[in-house]
Amino acid sequence: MTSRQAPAVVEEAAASADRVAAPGRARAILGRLRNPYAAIWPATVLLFAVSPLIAPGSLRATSLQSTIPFAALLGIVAIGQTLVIQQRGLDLSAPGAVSLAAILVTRIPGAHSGSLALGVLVAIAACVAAGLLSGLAVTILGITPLVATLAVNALLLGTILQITSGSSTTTAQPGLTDFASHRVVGFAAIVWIALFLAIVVGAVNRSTVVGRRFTMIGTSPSAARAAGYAVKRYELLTYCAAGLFYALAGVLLAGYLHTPGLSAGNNYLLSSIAAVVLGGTSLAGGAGSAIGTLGGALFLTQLQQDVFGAGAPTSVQLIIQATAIGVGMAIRTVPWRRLFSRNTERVISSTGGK
Amino acid sequence: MSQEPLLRLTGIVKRYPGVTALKSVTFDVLPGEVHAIVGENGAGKSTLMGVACGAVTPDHGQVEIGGELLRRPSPALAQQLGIAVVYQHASVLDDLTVAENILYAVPKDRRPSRASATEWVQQHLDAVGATVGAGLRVGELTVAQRQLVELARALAVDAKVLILDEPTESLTAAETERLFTQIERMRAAGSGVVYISHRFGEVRKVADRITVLRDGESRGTMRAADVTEEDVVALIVGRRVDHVFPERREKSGPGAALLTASNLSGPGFADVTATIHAGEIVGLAGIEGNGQREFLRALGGLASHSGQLALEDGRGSYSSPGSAISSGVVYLPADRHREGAFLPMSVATNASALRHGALSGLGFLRGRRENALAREAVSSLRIRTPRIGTPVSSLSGGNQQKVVIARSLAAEPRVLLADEPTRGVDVGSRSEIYRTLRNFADAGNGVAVVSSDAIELAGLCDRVLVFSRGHVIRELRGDELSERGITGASIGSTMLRAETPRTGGRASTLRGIPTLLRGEHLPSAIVAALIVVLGVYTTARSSLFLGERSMSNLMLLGAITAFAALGELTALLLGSIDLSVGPLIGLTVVILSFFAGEGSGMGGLVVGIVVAALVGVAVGSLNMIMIRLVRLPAVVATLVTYILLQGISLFLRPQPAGYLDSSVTSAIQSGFGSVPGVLVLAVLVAVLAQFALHRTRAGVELRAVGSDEVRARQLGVPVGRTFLRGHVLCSLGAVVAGVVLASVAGVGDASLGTNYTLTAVAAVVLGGASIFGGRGSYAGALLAALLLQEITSATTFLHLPEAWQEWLPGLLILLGAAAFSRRGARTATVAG
Repeated sequence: MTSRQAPAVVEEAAASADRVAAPGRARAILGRLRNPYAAIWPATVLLFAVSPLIAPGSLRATSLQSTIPFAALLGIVAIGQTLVIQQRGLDLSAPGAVSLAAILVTRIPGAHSGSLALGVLVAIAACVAAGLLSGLAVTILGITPLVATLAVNALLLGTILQITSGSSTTTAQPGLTDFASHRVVGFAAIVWIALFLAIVVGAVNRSTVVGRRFTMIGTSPSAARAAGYAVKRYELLTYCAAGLFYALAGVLLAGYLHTPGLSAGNNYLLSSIAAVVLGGTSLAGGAGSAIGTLGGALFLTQLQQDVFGAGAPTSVQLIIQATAIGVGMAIRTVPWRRLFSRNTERVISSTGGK
Repeated sequence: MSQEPLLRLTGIVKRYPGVTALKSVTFDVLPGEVHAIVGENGAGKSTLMGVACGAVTPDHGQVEIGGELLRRPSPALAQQLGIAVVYQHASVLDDLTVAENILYAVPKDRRPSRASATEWVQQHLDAVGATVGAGLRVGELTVAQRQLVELARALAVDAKVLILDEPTESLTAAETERLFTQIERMRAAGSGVVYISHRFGEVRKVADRITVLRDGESRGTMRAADVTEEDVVALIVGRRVDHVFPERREKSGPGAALLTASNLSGPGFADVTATIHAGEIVGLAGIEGNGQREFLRALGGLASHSGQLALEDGRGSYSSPGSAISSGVVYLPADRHREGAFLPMSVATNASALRHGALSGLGFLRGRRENALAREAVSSLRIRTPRIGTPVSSLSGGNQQKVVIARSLAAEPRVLLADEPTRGVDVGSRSEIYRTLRNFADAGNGVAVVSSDAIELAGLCDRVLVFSRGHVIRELRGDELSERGITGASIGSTMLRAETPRTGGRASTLRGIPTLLRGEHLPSAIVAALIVVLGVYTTARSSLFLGERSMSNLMLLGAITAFAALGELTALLLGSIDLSVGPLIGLTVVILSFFAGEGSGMGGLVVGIVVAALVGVAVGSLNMIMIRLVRLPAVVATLVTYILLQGISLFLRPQPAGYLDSSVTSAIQSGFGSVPGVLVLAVLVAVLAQFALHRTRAGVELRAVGSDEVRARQLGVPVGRTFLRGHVLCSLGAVVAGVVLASVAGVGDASLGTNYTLTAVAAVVLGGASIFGGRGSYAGALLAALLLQEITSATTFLHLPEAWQEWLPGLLILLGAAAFSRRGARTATVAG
């Protein structure tokens, strides 16, 4: 008897949900707000649409071809940052890791060509090791992610100074520079790599057991522990995975810039966090979207480009960037849902949930 | 005498998403009266008292305290009007001392003088029999001690109306007696007392009138002398109790042993031997805190244990929830919000949480199978939800609990360990949950249930094990298995507890240890020692290090870091953080380059400092507004400010320009011999701030908010104002640092300063502050700032590679944070 009656309850509830939230537009808005990761894309499209008005020529192919690779680099760093933020952390070691990877990949092959693969592997190993250190500090020592990654960043900066003795003159190998700027279907390889990485991370997150558990652990570590998930192992590996992304970004950055400076990664501290936030991933942890983050990175880079193209100085760029992040965040945190929640509440109580 | 009520609630209605907690409740307390409120869990008792004390704003209805209408309810206002509350879970603040907790609540005209404060506090502690020192940090106390401190606080304010919410839960019989004496004293003095409890025996003893709440409605108010326990219980339950429980099936004998614990010991229980058989429901009873819950968690792999666990087929034991689940033993958490459900996630995601293996292929989840499982769960447990994609957070408590049960059953366990399976669940769902558990057992599985509700255990279980002080003291079955039997056996054990002195958590024995070596002074001492060691070592290697030039330079630069760190600490004490201190330092340099440029003289410096200070106030306010009003996380809000300030600095000085007047720079750098005045100022500020943090109300408020915002509000702390004050002070620290940096740089360079954000956070953490707020030392922050500066200089003198300037602080932060600012250290006290 129970098995027959209950589906009816569900259906009736669904039907009454439709009835109560009747005004179609309100429902549509609600639906869209439910997916926080989609909002960045209309905003980005709008930004591109108005770009020619702000900075003439900013949509020309040559201009896009030089802007979008930078968005892609930021995107790769920010995907790493997304993973850490999904685990309720914040990674301040991204700049140090990106810089170190960029420097290692130019130093290891040195003047001799041919050992590019070694350089890439060493760069990746170094950044993953740094991630491991952050992860151990967070999971075993119980240090807050903010403080742990702050310290690890200092260690990375020290390592950079040690390796370079404070001077940067080495140039990336031709093999790497060719690869990074090699155009595939109009865009540098970097762009396709970033897209590929975002899609892979998104797919893992969405459809695999690992991704599901990863999200659930970020949502509630204590509930995840009670559900028998390996919480600490996931947290630890998150920092390692983030390190991998920083390494990839650093290597590609070296290839794209040819001669990366000592502090090539410095710009990525704030902008990677900003890209994550604009992309719709909540700093409270849990669910997140690598694709959304990529959208955030594209938006930020294009915004910068527009302001720059309009002839505004760096100062104005920064002020606009701050405003964009502030407003973008505020839109997400203002409890819009509560404005509609009278409806939702009624749905539940009317179905006898009490 | 006809009396005006001291407290009157009229027609109170309070709705929460998905549930109406109070449906038009009216309630009053007369002078010299004890008015008890009784009712089940979730009947609305706590919400009603939340309304009375201003913590909960009702949707409809009026609150009058002493004849005055509470128009804009707040705990601070209710306290002023004479309400004092003792919460069920003590609301005293961990990071404040016992005396601070008590004194803060006392109105100005009744507060003792500073000299007699300790004695005054001690008297009030003695009155309730609390054997704790007034100077102890509450975080170091046991649960029972905190409860007594809370009680002492409520009595110390001499309130018109005292509200006691389940005050005896963690008290011994002797302490309970003392409490009753105090209640009698208040009644005699003409105060009103609201006594919330589910123990009828106590209520009968102290109350003049009794009001019964059920499902958010008042079921009547009666004189305590006129009613019998049966009357009241009938009103509380509102149903014939035996009806809701499913029938036990007659069994020929015990089924196979599914899970056997032999001499199992762990935190809170010792030497417990018990077996869960197929087909039975075993209850674990006892007064809260006697080990039954810990035992159940250990069975589920959630607590460490020693001794033997054997499964059905004799397989060995397990030590983690994961291995327990794969062995077929599933724990059903009592705390639905923390452990049971992933609240923001969907019904389907929650229902399938323990079933990922079977729902996936090659590591990929099969959406269709998952949805099928969720639909099956929704229909078989009759979960009322609009869709299977609905977030669990928007369901009612009962349906949330059914989702958690569904997920546990989906794992197809052999043994289900149910911890308070019906807590906060409405009556209808409750009987469905009982039926589900019984059906599960009838299918040849085993169930163990921990419940604080003796009626529930008596009605549901086949047998009940009664715990006392970590041991099983009785096993009840058959005719003994009644509410009265369970309660009798459990209470018998409390009497035992009263006679034996409490062991463990005797925090008062710490009184003798010098405070210098405890808590927040330890990091300062270590940092100071490091400063000396590094200084001696560097001097030994290069005598130039102690030279006047090197020293005054170190002290000047150290002062910059110190001011930045002192500011940052203020934000951290609040439980916030300010990343914008660095760029604000830079902006101050830029501002001074406009006002104190060449030829401006001292007048220009003063104007520049005033302008910079105003900017500082504005920046602090902006941060506070974004954090408190727009509700941005502090990291994001101050990051926005960070970028904004950088932009403004660059806008004002696109290139370095505007040389400072030499008289200005030398004025800022002037000092006593080789000691710069600004360093002396930094030391003075640190000492004053340290003093203010512990001796002024503002300091207590800062730590109270950082310790626990919700409890701070309950205590009557003006949280918003405290936040504003803290963030403005933080920004002002950065402004002072900027003034000093300007004198060092000598030119308006917009790129300066930003590095100080991370240095300041590093110094504060190294100085022993908790990143979670509430605890920290200005002296420690100052010393750590000087140490960081010393490291930078020393590496040059020691001819160490430049890398050490980064490596040493990095390592020190890791070590310092691991020692002083761990997450675990804090969660332990919160859980307790």
